[in-house]
Amino acid sequence: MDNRELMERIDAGPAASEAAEAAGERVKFLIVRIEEKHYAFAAEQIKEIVMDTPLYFIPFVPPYVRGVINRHGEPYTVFDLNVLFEKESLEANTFLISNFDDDQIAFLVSDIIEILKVSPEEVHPITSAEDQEAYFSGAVSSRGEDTLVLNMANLLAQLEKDLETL
Amino acid sequence: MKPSETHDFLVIRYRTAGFFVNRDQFFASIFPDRVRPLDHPTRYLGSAVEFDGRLLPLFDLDALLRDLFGFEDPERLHVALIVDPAPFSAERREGLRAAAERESPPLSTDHLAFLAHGRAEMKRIPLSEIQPLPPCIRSRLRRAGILGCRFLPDEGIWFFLDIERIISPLAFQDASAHENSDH
Repeated sequence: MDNRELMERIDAGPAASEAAEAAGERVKFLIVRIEEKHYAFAAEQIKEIVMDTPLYFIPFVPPYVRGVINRHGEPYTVFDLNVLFEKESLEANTFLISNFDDDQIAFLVSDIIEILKVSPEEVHPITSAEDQEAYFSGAVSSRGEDTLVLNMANLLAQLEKDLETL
Repeated sequence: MKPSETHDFLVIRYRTAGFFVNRDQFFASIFPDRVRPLDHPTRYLGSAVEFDGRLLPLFDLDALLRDLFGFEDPERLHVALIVDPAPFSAERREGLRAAAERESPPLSTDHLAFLAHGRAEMKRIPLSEIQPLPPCIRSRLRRAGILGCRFLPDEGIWFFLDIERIISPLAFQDASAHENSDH
């Protein structure tokens, strides 16, 4: 890419590259490790990865809400998906900061594995009949393994339901 | 809200977190040196304090915050905040009245005292520095009396408490249940 082409890209801004990506019909996932399992987050839903920031406990919430963290003076609710899926607290200090317009949510993870770009056809529907199915919207192949894609809407719906009964 | 708008709060500091209460929710603070145990104590309402010639129920806010947040703070100095319960919900006022009338002689319910940690001080805080909690947990925590928070560079997090809502109505109702079981 020469400088002229480079400047065209810079002048057009990030929206143009997103549009180009959409035209190529590739979807991006952030693949993370939570304990021994890998999960996929839609990359567009994550804006930042933060490490080693203090986590502050809050009462009156389900155990999979571990507390809040401070991002630029704003509190973000921290989900520990290991509590939700495996019933054990995750000992980690890496947080994925969500990019939601209407809420401030972060996810505690053990490690970041990769950023995966796949075509929409490579996102498979889930065939499992487990109860946890509702927490996932599909699966993608990452490093030779099927990796579940998290369904944010259903995770938040679960929190709303649990808060009503607390 | 103007960017420069401020308000006075009482700040209660523990080692790992702080709490602040609207200054307008209480009208006096005293050193609780004249305290007597209740005949029918509950976890958070176990004693009464003398104030202005009357004996007021003394709600142990300090114990509640320790239980809720798991603090193990060695400091044991305390102050008592004197609160007018008139704006409280009917349910809380009724619970308070029932608990007060169980005692002999009955306690005054014109006011209620809250036992707070000794490291408490008045502070003027810019409203722009107080953050609402994230929407997904906001309404549940507001119902429980945690209205918002403030982050400080060297002091972690301070929670904005509603002194009325932080008291579960159960704190008073337990006293009534105790009363019923006695008969």
